[in-house]
Amino acid sequence: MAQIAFQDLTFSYPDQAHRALDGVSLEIEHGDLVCLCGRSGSGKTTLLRHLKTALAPHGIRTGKVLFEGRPLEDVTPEDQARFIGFVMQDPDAQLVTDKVWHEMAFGLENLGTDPRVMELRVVEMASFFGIQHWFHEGTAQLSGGQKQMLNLASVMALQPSVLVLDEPTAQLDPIAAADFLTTVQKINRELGVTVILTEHRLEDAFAMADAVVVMDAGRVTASGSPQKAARTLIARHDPLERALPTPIRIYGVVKGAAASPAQDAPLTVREGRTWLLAYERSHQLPVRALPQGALPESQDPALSLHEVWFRYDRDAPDILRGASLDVPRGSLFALLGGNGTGKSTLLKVLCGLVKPYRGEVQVMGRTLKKGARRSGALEGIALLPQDPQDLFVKQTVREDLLSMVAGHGDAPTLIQESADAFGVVGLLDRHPADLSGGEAQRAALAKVLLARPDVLLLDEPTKGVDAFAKEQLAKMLRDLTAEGLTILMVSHDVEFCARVSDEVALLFDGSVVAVNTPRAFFSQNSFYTTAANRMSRHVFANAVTDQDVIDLCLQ
Amino acid sequence: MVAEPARIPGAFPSSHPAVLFAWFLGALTLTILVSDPLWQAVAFAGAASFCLCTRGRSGWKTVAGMLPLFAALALANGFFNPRGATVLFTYLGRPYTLEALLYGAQAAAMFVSVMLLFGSWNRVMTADALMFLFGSRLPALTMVLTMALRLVPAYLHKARRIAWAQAGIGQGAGEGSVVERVRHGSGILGALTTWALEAGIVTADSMRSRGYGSGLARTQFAQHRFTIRDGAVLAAMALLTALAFAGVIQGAASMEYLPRIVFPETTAFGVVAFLGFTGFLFLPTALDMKARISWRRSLSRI
Repeated sequence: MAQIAFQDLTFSYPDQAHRALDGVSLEIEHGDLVCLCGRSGSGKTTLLRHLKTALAPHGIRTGKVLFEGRPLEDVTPEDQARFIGFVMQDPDAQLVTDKVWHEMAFGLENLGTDPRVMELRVVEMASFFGIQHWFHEGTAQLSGGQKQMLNLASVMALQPSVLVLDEPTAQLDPIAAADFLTTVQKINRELGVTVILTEHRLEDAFAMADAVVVMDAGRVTASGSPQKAARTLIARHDPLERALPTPIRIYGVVKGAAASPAQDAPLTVREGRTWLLAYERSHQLPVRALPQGALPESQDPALSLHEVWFRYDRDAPDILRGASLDVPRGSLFALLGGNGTGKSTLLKVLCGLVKPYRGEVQVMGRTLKKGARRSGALEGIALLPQDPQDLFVKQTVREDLLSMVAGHGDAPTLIQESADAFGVVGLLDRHPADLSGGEAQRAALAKVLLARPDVLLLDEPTKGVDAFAKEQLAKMLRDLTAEGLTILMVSHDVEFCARVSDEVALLFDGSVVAVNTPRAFFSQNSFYTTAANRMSRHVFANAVTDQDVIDLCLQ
Repeated sequence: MVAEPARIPGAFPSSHPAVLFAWFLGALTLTILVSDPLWQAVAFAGAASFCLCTRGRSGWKTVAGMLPLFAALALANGFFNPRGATVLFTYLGRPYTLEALLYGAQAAAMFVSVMLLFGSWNRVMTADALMFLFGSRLPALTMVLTMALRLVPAYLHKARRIAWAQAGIGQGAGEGSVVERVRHGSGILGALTTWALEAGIVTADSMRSRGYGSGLARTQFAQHRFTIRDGAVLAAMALLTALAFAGVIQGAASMEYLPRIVFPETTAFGVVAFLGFTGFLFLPTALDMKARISWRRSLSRI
């Protein structure tokens, strides 16, 4: 008997004509790790929420959900709380209490657990998750990664038999995301807990899954082993193909998906390297290296920082330590760096939100005045923050866009043009809070650019955005630079930076190091580089994107 | 050098919250009830030394700050209260009496002692400790308090983020004409409200998903253990307060100021009660001293 079974589940939200779920039938066995993937709005979240009566959306429903052979409605709320753990996307809002220890005990307190048993459970989980060092901290002090780990630990303290994770890493940086998924895998392997996981970033999740289920428009359109699912996606040129892990994607495209046997398809970089070596031996590949390209001579940079030093407080440590940087006009410059290297602070300095105590900032040849109380927007700089929702202050997207051109004679036309350019025409009358990650990103871009900046600053533009929306974003950014806009983007997303940027630099310890072209930059690094480069560096030189490797293989 | 006082193992603030709460309750009640200058001096000294125990060096500032407050309050009373037998001087045809001055000093002493006690109260009776004590009796209220403690910093953080974001596109609350500033500011508030409502839905889901409101009686995480030492301290406190209260009831600690000063009679029982009172107020200091000495001794052995 399967542990969880969806039987012909169909669901539609009130006032919506289309079905959010359309005849979903699915069985999940004890101890499986299932990765559920699909584009935003394909019904993944709706499906997962049906695994808990307390979270199930209101609407019209037919079909059944069985847990351990019983209809889910017949399982008491206590048992559902105990046996089915649920972790959602937002690391912050899921926290209930102000202290780490209390958060971990919260579920057990609700279920009236004996205090002696509770103590043991909480302490045990704190040790399993390595939380003992921050056990007594306040939850407000934690990083995003720690918060999400705490959410997972708090659910695990209840000793569930099923763990449901709804895009748990969407708001995390890649390192925290990988940590989180490793822990999930450990829970699955060592404790035998069944895991159902949805993910935007399939690179890690795909390789560790026992089974993959692909959803589109409320239906299950493919399921099976990761290799089998990947083959289906590649064969039908599904937009989701872009989200596949690099090795299997390259393999699929190079081999011609339909013809290839699925079993030996490489899922990890290690398997990819082995496969590529064998491929190289059996094929004639005259070209083994791509040109690195040269940095353009930059006479008159759009943005220039010279020896900038900054600290938040007189006694605080320096965040920027002599950062110097030139961004050529009309280029897309990517600044990579880990957490706490000063990326967001650098952006604040650039748009005049904080003032450096030493050094000079020039925008389009003009020096940003020290001490002058004016934001960068007046100097031709606009910033798109990490959470695009922070930009929206009105009830509809249209009003928000209007607020940027208030007083302008031809405001409606301007808005229509910008809505067309960023594909938000259909979203104009929606409330900004109802937009998906990708939609919010596009609307925010439209709003920011209505300020007519010369230089656009992007803070982690790919956070919480699915692969398809990322693709759209990449294209929009390229179009904007072609029109002459200068873009500086700070990001963790190595793959995205490799694909779209003209120049890449690394921010480390408050200063900018190693400015180079993407190919030169990434092919010199062995850790801070793309999966395609790690997979191919023993065979090809300077191949950094999936497309580079595919082109070199198919020459 | 002495480390941060609360970190010393075995120091009074590390006791069970019930012990701490009982001491505060006793100390506050007794401080309010005594009016004899000697008893009041002890109450003040006890409160001051407790303040130093919990706050370390910064406590001196608090204690020193109380002295001008005491002087001001004491002197002020004479101007409002014309009663009393011994006239010191007259002003605007009104008498300023010695009795009124001393009565003012008495009231001021009580006030500053209570202030000092509250000054250390929030160092020791943290939200956690209070919720631990009263959580099982008032589960709903405790839950609200816990959530409020999380939400206040979260709201401040988000408000700052939104304000940055708006300033980054030239729509900050500090930019433009007055009308525009008001518009920008209210926009930020509106965005914060939307966010708070959205986040509230997620929090509610997260709570229900972990069994909140499933109808079972909530239990509490046992954050503190009631040790034998806690029991012993509580017993000692009970004995000392009993003595002190008996003295208060007998009148050993009260003094009449108006219209003339009447000292209480000194009796053998009064002396015993006074010793009990002193012992109670200095109990935390004594325990702290003991802990500090043994801490230093064990440090020198490491």
